[in-house]
Amino acid sequence: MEAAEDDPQQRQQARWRRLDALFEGALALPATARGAYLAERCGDDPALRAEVEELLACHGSSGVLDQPAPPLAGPTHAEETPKPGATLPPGAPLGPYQVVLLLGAGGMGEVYRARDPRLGREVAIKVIRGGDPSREALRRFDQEARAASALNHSNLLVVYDVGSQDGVPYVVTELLEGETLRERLRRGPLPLAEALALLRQALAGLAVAHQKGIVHRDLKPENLFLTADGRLKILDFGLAKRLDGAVAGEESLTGAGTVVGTVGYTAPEQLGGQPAVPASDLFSLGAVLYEALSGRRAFAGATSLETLSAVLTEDPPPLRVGGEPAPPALATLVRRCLVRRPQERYASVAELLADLDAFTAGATPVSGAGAAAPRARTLAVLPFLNLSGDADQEYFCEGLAEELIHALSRLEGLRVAARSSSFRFKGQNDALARVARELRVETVLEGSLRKAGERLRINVQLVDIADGCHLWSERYDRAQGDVFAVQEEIAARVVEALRLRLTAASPGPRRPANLEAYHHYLRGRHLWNKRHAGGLREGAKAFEQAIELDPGYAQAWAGLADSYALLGHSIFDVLPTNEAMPRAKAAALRALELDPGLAAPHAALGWVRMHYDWDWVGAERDFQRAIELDPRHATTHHWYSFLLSVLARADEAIEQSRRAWELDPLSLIVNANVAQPPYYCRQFGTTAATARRLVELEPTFPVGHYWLGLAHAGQGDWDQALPSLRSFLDLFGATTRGMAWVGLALARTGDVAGAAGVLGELEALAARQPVPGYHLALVQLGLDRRDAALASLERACDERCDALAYLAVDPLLDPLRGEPRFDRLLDRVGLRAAAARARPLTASTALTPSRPRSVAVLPFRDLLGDAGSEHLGLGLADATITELAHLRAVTVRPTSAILRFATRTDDDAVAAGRQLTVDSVVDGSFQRAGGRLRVTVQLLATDDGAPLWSTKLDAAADDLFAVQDEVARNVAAALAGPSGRRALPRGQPPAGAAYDLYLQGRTRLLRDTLADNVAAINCFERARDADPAFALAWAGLADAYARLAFNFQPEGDWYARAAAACEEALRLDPALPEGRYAHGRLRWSPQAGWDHGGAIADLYAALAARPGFAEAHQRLGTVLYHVGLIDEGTWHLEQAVAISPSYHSGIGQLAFCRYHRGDFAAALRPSLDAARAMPAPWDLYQAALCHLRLGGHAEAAALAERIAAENSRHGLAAAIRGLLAAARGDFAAAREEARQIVANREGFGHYHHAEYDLACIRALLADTATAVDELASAAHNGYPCGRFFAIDPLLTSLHGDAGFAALLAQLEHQREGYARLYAELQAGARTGALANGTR
Amino acid sequence: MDGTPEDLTALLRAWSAGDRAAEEKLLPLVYEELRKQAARQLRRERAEHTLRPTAVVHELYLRLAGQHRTAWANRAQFFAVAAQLMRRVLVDHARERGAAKRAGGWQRVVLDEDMPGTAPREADLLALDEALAELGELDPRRARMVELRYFGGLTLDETAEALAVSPATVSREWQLARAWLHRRLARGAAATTGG
Repeated sequence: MEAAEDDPQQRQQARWRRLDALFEGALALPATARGAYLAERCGDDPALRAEVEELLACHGSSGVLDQPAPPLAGPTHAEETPKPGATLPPGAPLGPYQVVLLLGAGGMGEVYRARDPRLGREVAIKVIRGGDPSREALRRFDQEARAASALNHSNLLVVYDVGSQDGVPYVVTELLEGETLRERLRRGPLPLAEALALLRQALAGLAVAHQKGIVHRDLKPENLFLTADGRLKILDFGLAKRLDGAVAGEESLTGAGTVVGTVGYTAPEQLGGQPAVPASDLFSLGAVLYEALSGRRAFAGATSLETLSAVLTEDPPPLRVGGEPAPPALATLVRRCLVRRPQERYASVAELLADLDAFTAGATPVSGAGAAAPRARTLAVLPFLNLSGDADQEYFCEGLAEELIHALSRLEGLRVAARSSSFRFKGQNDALARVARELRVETVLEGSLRKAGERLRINVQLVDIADGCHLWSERYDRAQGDVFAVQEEIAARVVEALRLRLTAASPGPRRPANLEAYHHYLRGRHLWNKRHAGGLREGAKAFEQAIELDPGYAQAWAGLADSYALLGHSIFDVLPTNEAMPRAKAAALRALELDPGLAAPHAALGWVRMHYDWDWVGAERDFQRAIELDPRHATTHHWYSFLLSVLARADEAIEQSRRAWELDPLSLIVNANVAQPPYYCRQFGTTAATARRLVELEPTFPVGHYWLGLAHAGQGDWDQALPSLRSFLDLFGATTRGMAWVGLALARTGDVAGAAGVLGELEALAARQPVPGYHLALVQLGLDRRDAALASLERACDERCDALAYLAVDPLLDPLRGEPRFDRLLDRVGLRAAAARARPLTASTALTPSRPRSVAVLPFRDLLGDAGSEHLGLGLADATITELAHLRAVTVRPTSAILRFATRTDDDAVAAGRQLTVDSVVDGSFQRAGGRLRVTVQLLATDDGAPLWSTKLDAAADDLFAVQDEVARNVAAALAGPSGRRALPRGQPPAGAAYDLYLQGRTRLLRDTLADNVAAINCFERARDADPAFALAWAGLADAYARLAFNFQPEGDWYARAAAACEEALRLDPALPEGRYAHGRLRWSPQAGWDHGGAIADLYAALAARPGFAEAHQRLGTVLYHVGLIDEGTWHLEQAVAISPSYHSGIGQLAFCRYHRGDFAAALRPSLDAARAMPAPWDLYQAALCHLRLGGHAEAAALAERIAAENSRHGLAAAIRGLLAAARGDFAAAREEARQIVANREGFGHYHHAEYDLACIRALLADTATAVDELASAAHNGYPCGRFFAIDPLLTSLHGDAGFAALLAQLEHQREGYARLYAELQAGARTGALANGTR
Repeated sequence: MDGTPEDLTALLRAWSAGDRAAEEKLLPLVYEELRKQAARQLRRERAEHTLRPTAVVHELYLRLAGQHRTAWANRAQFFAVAAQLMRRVLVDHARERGAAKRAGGWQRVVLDEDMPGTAPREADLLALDEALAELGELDPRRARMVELRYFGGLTLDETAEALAVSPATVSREWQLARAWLHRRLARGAAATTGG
């Protein structure tokens, strides 16, 4: 022993072992007990004790090992770098602060949300790591932070405090909610007005800093923060430098040759080592403005050196805004910021501001300039506060504001928020910033009204939201009779304050000579806006009173028309259609006689012609005339969308409902209408989601409930539909429409007696009052009395019931479609053509008999936060999901949808459920202790967060399968009732370790990166090795290899391996859905020669075994539309998206499927959305193709440029450019691009798309023979949908060509073959299901 | 393909069969492969992939495994070797970059916002390499553990397999390794500040 102690190495080893034991011993104790423990164990060795204590401290903090190993370099993007794990855990102290959450991390350190317990407020703390923490650096940091904290302005980030902990400096600032300009710009350039407003704010902040001699030196989009309430904040004055370094003996810290800043934004003089001056900041700001307006960087190069050289030697390309050259004054302004020599640049904020003012004052929208027109200033008029103590003045206050809205709306260049939006804020005027944000306006006009005797006192204030300043305010004392004069005066003053040009607006409506009439009118509008039967009736009376007093009062007639138009709608059940509608029409015509310039009466006429005259052409003419007269009248767009729905012009309907919503974003009825067009084109999921949001927002608004109910009904889920429809009935009053819906729902849910009772009630009512035949028909249909239902509809038709307008598209009437009597009705109403256009639901009956209840299984939380157990939590969830997907009665969100909820906190589960639009969520947690695993599971209702069921399971940690099985079975039982228990298939349980590995593999696979893919392969291989008969492991391997082959590593033998693994999986379990899916996926590839038929059969089989298999739906839908079965493909893709609303590739394929239907407008939006969410070349390309077909050449060119910005030789960009060149007749350029395409075949994932584009180019060049050859080749190589060839506008020159005709015939022949195959599969599934007795 | 993988596979098989001589020849070859793999990926310039060292290791594994599936009775051993070599690749890479920086003569140059934090982390990496060498003298197994997890990107379970110990042991021993290294790194830095 003695000798050993003498050997230094041995001694060191012995000490290390002691250290190890002490460290582990102390760690096992609570922190408070460690001191005593160590004191006792190493009393004789204070150095050892100190070392253990330091180690314990290090244990609690984070360091380099908690982050992934550094990358080797390469084109990583700051914001794409995966977040390293939280280096300070929640709750950790940081100086006097307490960490709440890691907000972000980058090369320079991390930013935390933290609490200041002393002041009880939340702050942001930036911890600065990675620099050399020398004393010099610390002092420099401290000095700069102090400089920054000397600045105090609402556009500068407020610095509260600086400090350091363990030698690591940190800076404490106010906590901001919002995003950086960089993040904002990722969604596209800013509208001009917004960019200029932000520029003003940035200048305001900079002015203050420059005044104090501080230059920022590093302005860039990352350093400009947009708060949630619309304010811009300049961040990171940490790099700011005092201009006058001589102050207070501070030395200049900026040695020659030191560059601080970011290439691309930093001014040339800074790059050259010169000191930064205020003009340097203006250069950076100019670069930011350029980028914000154009969406392109002012100076860009492939490498930082190239960028550097661009800044030093090149002028940026001419500024473009919205695809058009920028207005010259603006271009000059930006150019003067970006001059290389600082002497020639704007020298100060004030100089720039002067030019900016001149530009904004001179900026007038050029009519027809479209996107290039600067955005109008925006204003909301809030309801005036009634301080008169007289409730009767309430409507007077509203009316005053409404009159102001009306007067101001006629000003060109001013966007005024619509009445029903602004008025939702009645009584909430205190939260101006919120109001402005929700209404998206820059200024707010508010006021109050007092009354003394017959005198009125009106206070008006105009507030600029950006800085909360009053732009103007005024007080008016007037006699009550003077109210119109007051209004005009106020409007004029507001206009003056806003410095807007008055234009030759159409003459304002004639004011009533009679003040009392005016009062009645205002009251009428007030009531009409409430949109319920009583309000409509009372409103009509008020308008009639106004008319009685002033028969020439056009607006009152218009109000009366609006009232009858709604009173005659059978949903309100007040007046029979054939009584109310003629009155509405007469009132509208009278209003127009009096004032032909009013829009509202035209809209009312359109509504009547549609619902009563069934004059579809006339109705459309009316709506269009109304839009012409006043494009800002939200009700016109709202009502027009109904007409378009009825005519089965779904995309236009969606567009109009969206337009109405943009004009009036907070009106409940306009919001509810967003749910309408999707319902009539059977996108029930969309309707349900919209309606659910509305119901959450405003539970007492009946309309939201009925859309929700109808959407559930459309999905076949009558159990869910019934309560919503009942809520509607309760809230809306016992109308016969509501009764009919409830009756139908009762019948569909099996309560035949209940339904018959409702029918009896309706029939009894019909004896006393007119009951629309449509309502009787609905219940009769539910009771399967088809003849009676048809007879009722025929009677409704005789009565010209408004509901018949929906005959072509009404999903509730689907059971009657195809009946000759129903067709005759369609003819009578004039909707036969529309019915043919409306998409019949062909495929839906085959696979899902009714919409099941929906559930999301969230990743199980590890209560101990054990490192390396993440896969276990995801795995438990994934396994449960997989099991639940076998249940026909339950729709379960796929694992990919729930991944992002892995790091939620306790109370987020219900919110997560809502985001995933499910009825219930499974929220589980687990703890691993020793060899035991304890799992707790709760099933929570999403609507109210109520726990529906919960359980706790203890099991051996290695018996994971048993635990998972138990969890899944229990959840299923809770969801589906006792039958759910039986429905679960019981596979043979594989060995625990193999299953664990399989789950790990699945988890890795879902993350979809190369490294994870490889790790997944590793896991699956080990799972397979542990249990070679484990079919799922083989299927997983097949999937992983296939991904490698298709997505990551085209070279190599991955495809062959995938095929082998797949074969093995299916040998072990021929019905394994995952196996069939992988098999189908592999068959539909160039390697397998695009075996469409085989793929369809496989994928169908996978779906038959597991109906909720989103990936299989997505893949099957894709294959189907590729072979020309567009309707069927659409249906499967919609299923995929319905099961998993955030399924990116499902949404993308759905858009492309619509594109091949010729529905370019419908495909454009989702493509643009996808491109915005993740600007991948493919999505940009798809959007560009849509634009091209829609004639938007400039837009297509812009998208091609964006693709080329990533990679100048990108084949997809060349394809677009070639098509554009050919379309404008520049044949030489088109040929050159065609050559490029061929030369860059590798730029295409699937070259057949390039072949198709080439064919289009040739067709445009009139090179028919080559075009047909290319098409044939493209089709042979898997290009989607031969049917598209016949309708593609770019191929019209081929029409009449014999070769083209032959190709089309051949493709059509093939399509028919696939159609037969699909029909056979459906028939097989049906007989199979019948044989199983489940249907 | 460059022909080396064939030799490499043979050597790896010999090495995993216990042939010490093979190790001598093997290490430079695997090192070279890793370096090439990294360079190849950098050239490919695929913006969607960040070049994580663990991804390089895994790619190499796949490529080699593609040559000779059966040679890989002990997958963990491959990762053990690769992790060790990846450490060298990274450290060499950091040294080269550090030298290039110094030759430029500018300090604190943030030339490229697209490469956040490469500058400060190079220093970290070299310091870590040094500290890891010290730890290796005190406790070789813990040093290997760090190598496997940090440079090889192995999970806890994979690390346990490579070291032929239980995951619980890795989990327990990791704590001291981590704390010790962090303390060593912090103290090293503190020494330069003179505090």
